[in-house]
Amino acid sequence: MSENRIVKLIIHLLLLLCAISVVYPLLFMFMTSLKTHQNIILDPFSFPWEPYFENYIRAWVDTSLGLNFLNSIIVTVGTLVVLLFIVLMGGFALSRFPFPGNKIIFITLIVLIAIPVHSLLVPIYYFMDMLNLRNSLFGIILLYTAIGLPFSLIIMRAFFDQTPRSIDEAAKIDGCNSWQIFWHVAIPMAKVPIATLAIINVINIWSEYLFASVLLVQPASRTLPVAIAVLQSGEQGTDTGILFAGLSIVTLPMLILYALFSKQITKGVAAGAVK
Amino acid sequence: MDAEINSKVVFTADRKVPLLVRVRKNKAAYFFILPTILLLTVFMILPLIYSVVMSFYRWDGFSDPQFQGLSNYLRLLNHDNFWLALKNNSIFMVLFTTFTIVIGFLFAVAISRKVAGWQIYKFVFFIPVILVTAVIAALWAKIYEPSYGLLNSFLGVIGLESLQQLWLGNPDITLYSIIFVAIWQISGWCMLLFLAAIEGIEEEIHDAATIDGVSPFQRIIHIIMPMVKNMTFILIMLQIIASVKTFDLIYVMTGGGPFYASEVLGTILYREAFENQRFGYASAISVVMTIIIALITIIYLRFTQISNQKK
Repeated sequence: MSENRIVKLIIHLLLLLCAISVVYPLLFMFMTSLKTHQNIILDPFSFPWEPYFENYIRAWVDTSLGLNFLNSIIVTVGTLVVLLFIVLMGGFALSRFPFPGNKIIFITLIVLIAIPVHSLLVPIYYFMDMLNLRNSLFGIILLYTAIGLPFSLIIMRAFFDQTPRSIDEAAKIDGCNSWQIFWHVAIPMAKVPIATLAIINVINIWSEYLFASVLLVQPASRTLPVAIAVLQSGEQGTDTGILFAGLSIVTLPMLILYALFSKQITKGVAAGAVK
Repeated sequence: MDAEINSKVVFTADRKVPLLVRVRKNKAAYFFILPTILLLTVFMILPLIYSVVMSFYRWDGFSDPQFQGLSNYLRLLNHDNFWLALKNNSIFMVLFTTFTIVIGFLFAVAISRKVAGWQIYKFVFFIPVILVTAVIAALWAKIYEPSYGLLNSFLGVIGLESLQQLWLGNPDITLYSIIFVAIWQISGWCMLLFLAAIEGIEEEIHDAATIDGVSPFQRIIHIIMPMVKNMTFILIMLQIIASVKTFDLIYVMTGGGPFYASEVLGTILYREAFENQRFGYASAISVVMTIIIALITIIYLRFTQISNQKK
């Protein structure tokens, strides 16, 4: 029995150690963001008893981070709205209509999931340039929608496949056309997959760096991941305090969302990946 | 718009009806699917074709592209950094896949057995997954910073100065420092997926095992591991693909340096395209990445089909 106890103690210690290794770097980030430059260098471990908010103000005002924050929100919300709407329409079409081409589209979606979008970087850069959509939030919203589309559409189609068609039938007998059925019957039914897809996609969109870094190069059009990478590389002179304030500004919204909706988020991510 | 909504989507039965009639009968469907077709064509299918075509050309983005046959691919094969990148991708793949899956599995087992504080652990271990990769990269670059970074300062405080390193400056260890961060970031995600699989195990099986006096170790080997076999396969494949694609973390932390020590396919692709303006050559790298990932996917699908047939 005592041997068992030692094993248990070791497991607890290991778990605790891992938890600290996750939490401490983040805590360190927030603490450092509230210190003066001198304090950061001389006393990296101390707690900022006298918080120095200047870093946040300078990060927000001096660098374009405030604007970039707004860009990130526009891009994330915009992509979600466009993506979910197109996915609802597409899922409805694929599940409810045996139109010629249905199968081909579905197989194309599966193939596209296996294609690494990274390999499309060069042509997409060139296309966006041709369409005059570089440095355009609208362009990046369309691109992110396309990237999220194959996976999301397969999940949405699977959902519609499981829902009974009797309600559609009833609505049709009542004289609804396809659009009315879609709008009044299909969309209200799909609340759960909408939430799941929103969660999965929001994490990807908020973090996307590769495409944003080549397409959004003007400081005013950057999203937060790009802004952070620029800040880190020291284009505007590296000030550790400002950098950490910037990192905190990017991290806080997601942390707050996670704290509020951790159950839904973990469930959504698991459900999305299992399918 | 008033096209008929069929009560059942039956593909085979409809085959006998002429194509045009079927198209007309389902014209509403084309309206609903049109945005999907447009977006996928413009942003995925055309770029994919373009990428393959471009890989046979020499092009700097301004002057006229010149057809070069296979020379981009030959150049790639003779490019030392390409082999270095492949080696680094492979090291990344082996370590990242192994550790994230093992750690994720152990976390999941501990949490599913409801160790004290399991809710907190579950919450905490998943946090890095929702963080922005560029933020993680910038944060860890500061932690690894040699003179006043957290890690070296900490080693100094506890009297282990001898272990202090140029974590991102020493070509021999840079890659491993980065892989550690990748594992730190993604293990929680593996944990979550394993948890989903473990929660599928019925409680009765566990109860029976408890009554039979099964030790925790036996429980893992004989009950939990067989049940999460499929999930493990899925995760292995996803992690291998993620390793081939890895880019953000490395690019923001080191840019592939020092002295190309942390070069991977993604960083070469980026540099050749956007710093050296060699779009054709970069396209060849994309095509190679796509082929590698396609091969892995095919092998995986074969493998799972074989294992499914055995059941």
